[in-house]
Amino acid sequence: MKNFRKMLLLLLVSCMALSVFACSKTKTSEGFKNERLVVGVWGGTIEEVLREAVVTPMEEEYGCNIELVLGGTGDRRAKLYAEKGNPSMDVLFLNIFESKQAIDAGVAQPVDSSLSNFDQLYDFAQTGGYGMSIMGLGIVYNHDLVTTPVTSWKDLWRPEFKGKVSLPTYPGFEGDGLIAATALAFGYDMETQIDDVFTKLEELKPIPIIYNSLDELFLEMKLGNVLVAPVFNSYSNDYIEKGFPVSFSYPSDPGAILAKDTIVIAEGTKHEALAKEFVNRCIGVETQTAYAEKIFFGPCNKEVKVSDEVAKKLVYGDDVKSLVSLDWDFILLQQELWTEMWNRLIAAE
Amino acid sequence: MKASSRKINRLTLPLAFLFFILFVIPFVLLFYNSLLTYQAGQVEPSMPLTFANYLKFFKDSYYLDVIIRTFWLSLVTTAVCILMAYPLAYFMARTGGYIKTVMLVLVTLPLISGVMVQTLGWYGMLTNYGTVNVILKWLNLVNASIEFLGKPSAIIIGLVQGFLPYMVLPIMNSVQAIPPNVLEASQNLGANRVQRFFRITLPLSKGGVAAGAILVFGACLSSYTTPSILGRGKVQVIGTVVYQQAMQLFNWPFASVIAVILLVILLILSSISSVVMRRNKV
Repeated sequence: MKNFRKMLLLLLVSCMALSVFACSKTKTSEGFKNERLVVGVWGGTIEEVLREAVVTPMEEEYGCNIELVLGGTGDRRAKLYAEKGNPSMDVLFLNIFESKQAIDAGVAQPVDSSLSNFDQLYDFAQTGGYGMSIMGLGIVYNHDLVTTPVTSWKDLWRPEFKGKVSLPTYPGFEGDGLIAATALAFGYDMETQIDDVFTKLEELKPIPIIYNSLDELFLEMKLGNVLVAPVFNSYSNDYIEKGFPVSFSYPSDPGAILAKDTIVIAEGTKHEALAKEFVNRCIGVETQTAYAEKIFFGPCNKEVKVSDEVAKKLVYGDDVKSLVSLDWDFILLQQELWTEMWNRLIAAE
Repeated sequence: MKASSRKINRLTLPLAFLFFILFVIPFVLLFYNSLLTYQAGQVEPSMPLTFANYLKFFKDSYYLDVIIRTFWLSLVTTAVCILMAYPLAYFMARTGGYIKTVMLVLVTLPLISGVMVQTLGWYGMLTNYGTVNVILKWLNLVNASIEFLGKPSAIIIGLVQGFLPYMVLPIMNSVQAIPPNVLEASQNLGANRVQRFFRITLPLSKGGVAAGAILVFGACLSSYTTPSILGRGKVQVIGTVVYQQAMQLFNWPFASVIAVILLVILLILSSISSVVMRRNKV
């Protein structure tokens, strides 16, 4: 019995010594060991590239654990607000207006210009969250069945496309972009003449499919059930690369709509240093190049250099100036009304 | 007598407390939310409290249409479920042993696999190039693909498959619970099979049908995944509208209004049905 007590004591002491030793070690040598960073991001190819370029190298280097929570921005945005001050996600990928809104509302941190890669970002990527990638919303069409190339947003209303134009689900970036492009193309004011804009959009009916899955949309395009649809250049090029008989057009009147994916760090995160390191790597040349070359997401880092062939598929460098930037502060105020109108006039049979 | 009843009351206190936490508080919060003011572009609702959200609901026929459409879809689904589940449940109640176990497993399988997997399965089968259309074309029943998705019929198919177990199990239980000697007695008194079914089995299993119907109907009303995937954004139901308002527009007050109105309707319906059931002694 006495022996047993002695052994127990010894065990306790050694445990304590070991834990003190372990603690001191994490404090001194490697700050991020066993830390767990939660990142909310889109799934699919984006996840693959991010894992390869950032997550795995960081985990190997620091011994930290980076968990990717996959999904659309809606869910993680809602979570960010609901968990204000005590976020379950440390880093979130959001779109152009969501990140700005989150920073304004105080649930996400403003950008920290002291990150080592920050100065390499284009000016437009330095505000309202860290710019990750840029894309243009344009028109994709089946080039086997459409003989005259699509060049303008107005081409969606060609008689030959009647009943063959697929539209996105709403609310969402593609829908906002399409409404704005329609208004700009036909010269309607988005505030006072919104009825006319929707009347114009109604002319596109019947809508064969309202898409929320690109796989399905491109399959339907290949089969000819859909001839044209508003889609981002990056996604389109992804499918063109896979051999789908489609072409992407940066339409005129008014031009392709600029979209930006941004990263924000949640306000109140307990892993701020690790989160910043993660973001810094994301906006670094290496990751940005991988994004450009593998999934055709336009880089936000000025230093990124890609081959001419890849550059053609990207929104790259000066291309940004030819894209249309929308007034998102205004659009956010309209979304409720636009949703109602879309539900009633476009989505309903 | 008095003492014992008071004892029972005290014993129900923990349950009442649980009920309070799990049901009463959330409902009060929901109602409170529905009175807040939504500001376009803002994520968090703010003061002052107002009934404007309710006014908006009743002024606009769109949302009432959505509720009516959801009820209609739920009713049809429930009816189809009863028609499909009754023969199956009857057969299962009458068999035993190995076959019954296998059938029970098969029937409950949808509950285990989850609604997402089933719905995506149906999605694949119902598309223009999916299994159903391929078979129909192969059998020369149709020339061009039939468009199933984005129509109420696809949603009904998905819902029936998903919620059929909720109908089969209670009916099977109620058929099983019919004492065999009642059936024997009727047989001895000269009733044939058809008479026996319509005059003994069916009336005595009404309770199971009613229980199943309430379960299926309730599940349909609140369904979101199936309508949103199989409806392709073209068929809006309560679940998808609430999602759109709450998660995409962050109009929590209006989403709460729809939820409160749905709850009130359900409350009225369930009290009517319980009165009817008590009168019929189901």
